[in-house]
Amino acid sequence: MNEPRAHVVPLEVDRAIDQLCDEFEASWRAEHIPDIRSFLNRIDARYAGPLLRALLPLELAYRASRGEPLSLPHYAERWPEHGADVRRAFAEWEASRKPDAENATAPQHRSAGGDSGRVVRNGTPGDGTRDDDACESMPESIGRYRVIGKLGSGGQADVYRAVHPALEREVVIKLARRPLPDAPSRNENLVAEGKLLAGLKHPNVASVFDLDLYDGRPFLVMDYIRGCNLRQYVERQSIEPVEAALLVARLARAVAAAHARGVVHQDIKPENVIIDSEGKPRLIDFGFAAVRHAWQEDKAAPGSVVGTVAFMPPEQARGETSRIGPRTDVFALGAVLYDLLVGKAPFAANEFDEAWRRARQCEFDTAPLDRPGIPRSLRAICVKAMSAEPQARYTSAGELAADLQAVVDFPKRQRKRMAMAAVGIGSLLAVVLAGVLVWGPRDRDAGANGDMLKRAPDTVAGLSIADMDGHDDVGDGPPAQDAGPAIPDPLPATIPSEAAEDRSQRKPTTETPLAARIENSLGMEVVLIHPGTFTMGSEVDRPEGQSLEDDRYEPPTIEFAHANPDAIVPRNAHLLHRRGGRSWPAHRVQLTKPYYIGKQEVTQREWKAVMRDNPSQFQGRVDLPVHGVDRWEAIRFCYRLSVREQRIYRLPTEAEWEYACRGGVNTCFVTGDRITPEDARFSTDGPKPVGSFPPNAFGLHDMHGNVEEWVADFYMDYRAEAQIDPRGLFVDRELFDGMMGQFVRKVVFNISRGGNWASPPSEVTCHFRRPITPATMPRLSGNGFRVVLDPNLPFNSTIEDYDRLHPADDWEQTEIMK
Amino acid sequence: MNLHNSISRWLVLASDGDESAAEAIWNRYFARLMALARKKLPEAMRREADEEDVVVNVFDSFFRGTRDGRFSQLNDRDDLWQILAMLTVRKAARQIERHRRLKRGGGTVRGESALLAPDAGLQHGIEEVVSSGPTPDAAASMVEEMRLRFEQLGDDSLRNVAQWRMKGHTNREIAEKLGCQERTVERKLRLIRRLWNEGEPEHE
Repeated sequence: MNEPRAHVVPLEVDRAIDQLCDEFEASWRAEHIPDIRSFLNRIDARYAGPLLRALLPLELAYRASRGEPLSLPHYAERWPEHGADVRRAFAEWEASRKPDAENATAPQHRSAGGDSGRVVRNGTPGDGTRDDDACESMPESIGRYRVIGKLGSGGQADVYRAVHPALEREVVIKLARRPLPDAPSRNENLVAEGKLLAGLKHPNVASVFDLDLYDGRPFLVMDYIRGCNLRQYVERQSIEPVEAALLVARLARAVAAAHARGVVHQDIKPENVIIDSEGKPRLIDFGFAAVRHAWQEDKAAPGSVVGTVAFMPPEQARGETSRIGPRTDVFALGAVLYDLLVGKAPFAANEFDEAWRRARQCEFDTAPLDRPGIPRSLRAICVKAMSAEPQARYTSAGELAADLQAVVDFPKRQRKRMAMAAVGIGSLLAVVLAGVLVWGPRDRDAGANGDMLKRAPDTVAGLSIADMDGHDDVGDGPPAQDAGPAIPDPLPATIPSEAAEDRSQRKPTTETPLAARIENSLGMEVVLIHPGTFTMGSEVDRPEGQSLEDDRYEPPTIEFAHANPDAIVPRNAHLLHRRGGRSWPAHRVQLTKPYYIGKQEVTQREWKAVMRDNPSQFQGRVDLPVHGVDRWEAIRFCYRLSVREQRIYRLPTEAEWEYACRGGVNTCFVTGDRITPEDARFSTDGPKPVGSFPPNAFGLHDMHGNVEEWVADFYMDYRAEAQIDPRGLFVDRELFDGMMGQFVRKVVFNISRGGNWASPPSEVTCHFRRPITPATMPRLSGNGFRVVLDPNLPFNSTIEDYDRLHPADDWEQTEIMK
Repeated sequence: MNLHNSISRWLVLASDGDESAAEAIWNRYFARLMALARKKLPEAMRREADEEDVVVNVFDSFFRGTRDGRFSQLNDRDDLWQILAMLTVRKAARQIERHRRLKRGGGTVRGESALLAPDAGLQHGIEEVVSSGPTPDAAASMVEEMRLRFEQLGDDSLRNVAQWRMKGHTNREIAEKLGCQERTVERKLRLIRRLWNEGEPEHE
């Protein structure tokens, strides 16, 4: 009503525009500078104007926040046909920035700009300072670095993005706003500081590699890391307490490494943690120690209140500089953990003064930590790390990391289950041994725990008897204190070289080498695949004319939106009416853990032994591969097999499947670029017994053709960046169960690989991916699977751990399984 | 039937004709309807177990808001609560009309009058609904309507924006929550209004 122009555009298009804008903005925030043109190409030409009108203001705001010059003629020239729209967008933008220019366009997403914490979320104060000259001109170069944009600025320093002139390397430069005071020792100090920081190399720390003076002002040169900061990260996806523990544990180890070199961070907060493109947290913005007086805000009240008060320990907030040390960082790590668990900073307040007062008095609310879902031990760790008195905290970040890791490795609920099993051992064991498998949750627990109890307790993944005697949830301290012996990292656990019968000897020692092959009681053979790196996907099937530019996404087409008025135009909607998924861009994938994969596809004999029935259309020989099973049935098979064999069997991830399929080759087929009917079963009318064709380099049969094989993950378009242990799309239950469910279901696809006996050669390649909508066609007659035996996960893992191996699209199914 | 038109026409009638009439509708009808609807929500739903339930959540802040006088005035026809109020009233009116048609015999054949003035029946119904005051049935359908409308938004970001907006957050606050530009929030609100005003949820 108020926006007559909007009504020119159909509602579906409006929705599509909104989503494109979101993507555009996300791209800006992730520091992938998006190209408007490529976005315009993704919409029907008729609606390019409205889209441009929506995109331009965002573009302007983000460019401005980076300190980039904006010129109307530049944009008007680019889109002469939309001249009016461009002018209007400029005018609106000019108007909108007048009242509160500084805030409206402030880069609260600033990754490297540690000081830009002044732009705050939920009233969390930053360092409480405002720069009055945010728009001051930026230098063309700082030292030898060519400045390409301003990332942000705070009370103490400006942060720029720059390029090393010779190396063409992108860097972040943090330039102090004031010169160092004239002191005879300042240069030595600076050099010492530079050496210290440059020597700090840790995978979870953004490296600093230069420190120098510009205009009398010190500056630091750091790695430029693509990604989003932890604050943005948690706003986009929820994070489980255990994940939070793992994340902070990693940071704590990084901080410990810094402490070992004598560097104290002093400003650890979510904004100073970047989640890089590989999902790895990287701590940024080290470098206060020796040059602290240069960074510091001189008008800041007593002493040196440097850092962000919302995460600040009392000694730092009070400016008691002499008491600042490693435990200052321990506190801040605890505060970050608090933030991740509770959803807000411990000293968050609407006013800086209030936050500062609370920080000085160490006044934070522990009640939110009591919410269900947060393990008690984790709460205890958090509270201990955040003790007001430094002496009461962990003595080192390393100690904090160890306690957190223990929570990650041994969730409380697991111990609870062990205790349960201990009570009902006799009857439950009988159930398992008799092979009467009833898939209620209780029995499923019993299967797992019965197993553990059959073994000598001291061999159970390093847990002592004390852990099993039933004290589990009663307000105990951190696990490291009550768990007796130090808890070893369960990865990589190993499988004994003997075959399955010798399980009682299985110990998670890292020395035992993994057996090359394992045969289970059904005679199923799995082959060891070593960790490695390979090129996943292929450029062969990329449609002509599709540029690398398009790699990050497939445009939802407007035509599709019209044809399906109820569709919310999922990102991958094109898949619904296409035959294959996108097997491009080819990208590097590293698999870091060893695994065993079935030498053969699961046969009908094996299926029947475990599941009793036989869904296969083609029967007659027991060594024919089972087919006509859906993904859930395959998972159920793996689960039952796991209980039976007391090892973790599961479906392969897509990456594991492709790596195993390729056996080291980079071509379409293991036989090269061509495949013949002598090499595999395809383009024909039924399956062949497994192993009828020659194996690949890893000794695996029938990776090409015969039955098409389910993999564990959900379909996701590939990205061009290198990946480590990729796991496909993850959708959490909340999303499925919520109102979103019906829409989410439309974007979730199972995947099967390798083609089947009837597929043309183009579908039996190493890289072909068939996305399958579970809702519409769960069962394909040509689909079977092969199993993976996972030596990395002890069999006594929790059911939640097992579920995590197979993302669910239907929780009713998982209930049935249990 | 072009619902969009019928709503706007009604809005025009209500506001252009008599500002105070519209306000009376808001105060006498909608506020009471909301109170009724709140009673309708089973007790259990209001406990913390359903903390995430958008509807319960939004309801609760509405009541907290009215207590603080935050939602008391009818000055913004684009306000999401206003739109929701209109949708509820219209739905109730449609039920009345359907009922009446059935009584007239069949309901499959539309009366001549309906052909002449497609919205006439509805218009009449709306007046009737408002003048007779909210009924418990209307309250139940109000809750249902909200649920459907949130569902209809589909996209998570839209749902969040709607929810926060209805809880009385400013665009600036929402932008901060989402870490996006304020303009993005405005865009999303426009889309939400369009969806609610024009699009029908799947059930009808």
